[in-house]
Amino acid sequence: MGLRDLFERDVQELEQEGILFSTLGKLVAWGRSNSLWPATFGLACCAIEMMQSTNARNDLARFGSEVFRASPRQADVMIVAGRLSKKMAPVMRRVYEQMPDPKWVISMGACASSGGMFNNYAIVQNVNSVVPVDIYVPGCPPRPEALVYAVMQLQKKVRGEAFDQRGVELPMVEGWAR
Amino acid sequence: MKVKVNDTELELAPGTSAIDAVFAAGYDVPYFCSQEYMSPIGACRMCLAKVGAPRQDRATGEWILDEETGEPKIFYFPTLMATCTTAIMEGMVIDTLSDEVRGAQNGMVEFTLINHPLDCPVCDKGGACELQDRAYEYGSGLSRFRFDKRHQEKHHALSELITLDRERCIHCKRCVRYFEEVPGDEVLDFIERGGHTYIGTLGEGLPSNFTGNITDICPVGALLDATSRFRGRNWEYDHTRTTGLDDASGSAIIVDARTGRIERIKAALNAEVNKSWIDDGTRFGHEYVDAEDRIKTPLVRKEGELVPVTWEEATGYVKAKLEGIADKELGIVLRADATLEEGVAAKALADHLQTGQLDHCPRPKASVLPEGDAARFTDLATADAIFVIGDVSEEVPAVDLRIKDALKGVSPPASLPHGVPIADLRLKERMPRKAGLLTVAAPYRVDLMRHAGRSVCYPVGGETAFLSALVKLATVEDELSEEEVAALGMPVDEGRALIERLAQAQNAVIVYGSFVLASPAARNAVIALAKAVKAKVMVMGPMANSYGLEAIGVMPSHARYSYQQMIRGGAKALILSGLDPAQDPSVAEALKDLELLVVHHHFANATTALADVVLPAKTGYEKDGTVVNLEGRYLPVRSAPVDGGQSEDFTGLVRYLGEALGVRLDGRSTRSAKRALNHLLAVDLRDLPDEGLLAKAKSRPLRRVSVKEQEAVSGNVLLVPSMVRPEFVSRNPQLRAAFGDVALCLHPDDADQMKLVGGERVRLSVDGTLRKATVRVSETVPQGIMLLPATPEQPVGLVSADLATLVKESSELEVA
Amino acid sequence: MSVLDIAKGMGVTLGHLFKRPVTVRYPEQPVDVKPRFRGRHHLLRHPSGLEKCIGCSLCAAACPAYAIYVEAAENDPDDPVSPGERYASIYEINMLRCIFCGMCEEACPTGAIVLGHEFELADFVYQDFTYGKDDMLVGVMGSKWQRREATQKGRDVRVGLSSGPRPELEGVDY
Repeated sequence: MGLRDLFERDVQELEQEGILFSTLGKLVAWGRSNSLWPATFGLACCAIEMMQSTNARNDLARFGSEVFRASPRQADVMIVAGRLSKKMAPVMRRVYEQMPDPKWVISMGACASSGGMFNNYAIVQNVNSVVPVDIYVPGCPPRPEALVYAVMQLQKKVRGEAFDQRGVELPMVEGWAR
Repeated sequence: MKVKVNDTELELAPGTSAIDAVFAAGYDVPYFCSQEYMSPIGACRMCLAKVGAPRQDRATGEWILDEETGEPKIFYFPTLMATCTTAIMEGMVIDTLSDEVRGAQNGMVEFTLINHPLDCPVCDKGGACELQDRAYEYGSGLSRFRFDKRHQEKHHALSELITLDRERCIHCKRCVRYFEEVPGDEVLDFIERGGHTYIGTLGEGLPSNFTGNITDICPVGALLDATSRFRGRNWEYDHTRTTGLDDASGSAIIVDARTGRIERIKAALNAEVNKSWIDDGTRFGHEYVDAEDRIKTPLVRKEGELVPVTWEEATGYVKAKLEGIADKELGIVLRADATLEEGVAAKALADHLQTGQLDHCPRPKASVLPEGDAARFTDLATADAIFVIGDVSEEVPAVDLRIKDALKGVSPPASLPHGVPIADLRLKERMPRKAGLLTVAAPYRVDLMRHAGRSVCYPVGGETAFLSALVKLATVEDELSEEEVAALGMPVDEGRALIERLAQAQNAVIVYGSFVLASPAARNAVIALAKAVKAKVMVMGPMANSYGLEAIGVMPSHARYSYQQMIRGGAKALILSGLDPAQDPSVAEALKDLELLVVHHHFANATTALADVVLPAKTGYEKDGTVVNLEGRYLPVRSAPVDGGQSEDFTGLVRYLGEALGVRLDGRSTRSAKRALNHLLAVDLRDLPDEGLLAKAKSRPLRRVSVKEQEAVSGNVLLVPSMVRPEFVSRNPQLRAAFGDVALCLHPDDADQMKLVGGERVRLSVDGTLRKATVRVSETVPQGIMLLPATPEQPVGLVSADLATLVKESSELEVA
Repeated sequence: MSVLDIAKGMGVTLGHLFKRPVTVRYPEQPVDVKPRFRGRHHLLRHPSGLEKCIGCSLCAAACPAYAIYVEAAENDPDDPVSPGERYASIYEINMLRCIFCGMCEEACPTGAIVLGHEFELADFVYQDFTYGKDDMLVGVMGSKWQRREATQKGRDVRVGLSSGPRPELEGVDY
């Protein structure tokens, strides 16, 4: 690995290769966790609650997620809000792929996370089969506070403080496209 | 007769009950106590309707006319009538819709519910309960009963398999009548009277082979299947109607599965086969399917250990091994409950590999096919003389029930627009039985003899001599020799009377099973007897598809290629499906010398321990296909959603192996197998109806069996057919608890001599194979002979056991 | 558009600057949800300590999303789990399938299942959303993640709720 790589590649990517940055890594993670710009992917009724979470009453901007980007190229996190039909799935994958690394996905609501009550031929039964999901938010739809809570959870994950039920620590970023 | 139900007029045969008239007209009345194939008694009083009929003037014989309209005047009965016990009359008018009738039905529902506990959420019948449905349809929805309900025992174990909740019982008497009328074992009755009435037994347990049926017919949740207690709710089960592969009857069953497990089996209605009754072996013998040690992935032996692999890898391994093996050195053997499709697949594989070493097991020495058409179940039920050789109640229990139908002398009811008549008025409680038409012969006392007018115990192993003596009586006028009289087991006069009875009968049926099939000479004798007395013949093959597999020729091309030869060194490579020959140590030694041993089985056993490749097999509940029952009826086998891992039936094995060999064999799928069967049998087996298809028997090459092998049979152990399959008993803990372990039956004198007492666990080397059994002492066993259930590897017949090998185990029963 | 109009508009903006902000200060302050809001399920007990659930599966039958799985078993008469013969040996809800419609609550013949107010259920792994009896029996507070985090950090479970329990759950603490 040349010196060039140190500048051209991402800190976390290099960490995976065994180069330790310690404090720098933490600083980067902290920075990222507080500027998670979401890409809109409102698909159904959950989108209404997602919009609600950004307005004055709930003000998601307090967590650095103020701007919902219509362009995926400037977004960090994709909030999949609503049931994803199988016809929409390739579109979503494309949007996801257009997002720059590192990137995260929140699966909002029962339908996006598991198909919910739409266990049928048309609905993707878990968006994790299309894009890697970092946070699932139960609810039908989840109230804005639940989404705010999910963003806070995502911040924990980005900072590397997340672990699952068995105590296994979860990686800060799952979906490196490179 | 013309009957008018509400506004519908219809024509029905005389003798039809009013309730059937109502249903035939497309209307509905509630009922709890009537039941198809059982006597109507009007116990529940739910089927009330307003019934009237015109009347004839006694003096003139003229119809009494209504003065206003000039039509015959309808005289209504003074009260509402129970339609199930009322026969229709000419011009009868039945009204089921008036307020009066609705009010009475509503009142009856309220009465019935007064003492019925509100257990619906915890009751296993909930969701499939007749009382629940009728209360919803005909009840008012409210109760005015503000007092304590009757309290009785809630959890009474009638037997290991059936629990009784006495609070829930509504006294419809179906179960009591069932036992008296259908199997003829009077084991249940009402005890006490009035509000204290309850169902009970005289002694312990339910000594009958047909106890499970009462859980099907109970209109409430009083009698429940204890094995599926609280396993799931009725709406959660996947119901699969299929054919039971437990015996050769082809009984219709419904498999109820939930989350990949079989939870229970219920009887299905097939009016021409099992009606709506099945035996306990079929109903409760399914637990082994979910046994913990079920093989679910293919295994290949690598460095002495069986390692899980994929099907492709396993069949690839088989293909590589087969290359070193010459044609005709490979043997393929199916278990005799394999479907026709599997049979076709096995044949196609054997043809491709050019080997004639193809067989099914157990395959009796004599052919299981009758000459000409087999007797049908309806022939049996309407027969006026029946001669049974063998133990029907254990071998094919459905035959036992249909014989008991014949004893009642009531022909099967004609089908009505709504199906089987709900109330057949020809049936009565405690009908006189025509025991005289039934003769039962067996080497020991069998259960059916209790119902027979004449029963004969011929000497053990003496089927040929017994039947030859009867043939002689039927055909030759000569007197019998002394030996022949001894072989007859009964006075010669009685033998003559039996022949007389059979010869004079319009519709005589001779039923025989494995005892006769064990000897070709005995089989020839029984066919000769049937010809002499012009009787039809019903052959009880040892397994579900013995008939079918023999008919399509899953058999060796030469006698020296039989299964018994193959496993004793006749083949260099073997593919065995569902069999475990290595229980016999001498066979195990021979199997060790094989170059390739492929075992297709559900469980690890002595043979899989020697196998090079073990392939997971589907059980009879998971297969799709067709079987042929003992009538020659093609019956559909459908797969229930059971989690069998990667298990496949033999068609699956042939598909994977064919892919490895690079050929497309017939029978690589059930579809292609059905196509091949259509060529072979000229029967289209796609979309078989539930009740099966009775195709005309195509003339087929009869199996030629040399009768030369008349070696004197001798031995001290008689292997007998058994309703509970001994090979699965250890994996069916509840069935085992109810019917006991594999039993070694002894005469008391023999037991004394061998210092054995009932209940002791023993090990004994029977014909080379070590068998474990529990001693049961019984007077019905002839002296000097022990009875032991036959397994597929040890078919019915007389064998010898080395008494020196008899070892007692700990006397306490292993509690599963 | 005149200068006056602009001033008027700015006036509104300026006016809002001095009003109390409408923003809910969640998570710093707990949320006050409406009484009929339906969140995570609770499984209740009788005052005697026995579970109300009898394992009848009616909730599973009523569930439009098939989110509930129940397996029943027979009570040991000496040490019963619930009154009567039957109890739920397995009671699982897939919180991701659940649409919080409350049909299970309506179907329950014993009032064993009630939807509470907790909404902070977000978690990371799909498999962790299967809530069993241990996660829902009355007395357990917080989502699986909240309890997991509290155990790791050695502190009490913090639930961001200020409103009391649902009216159906009031006074239930056994």
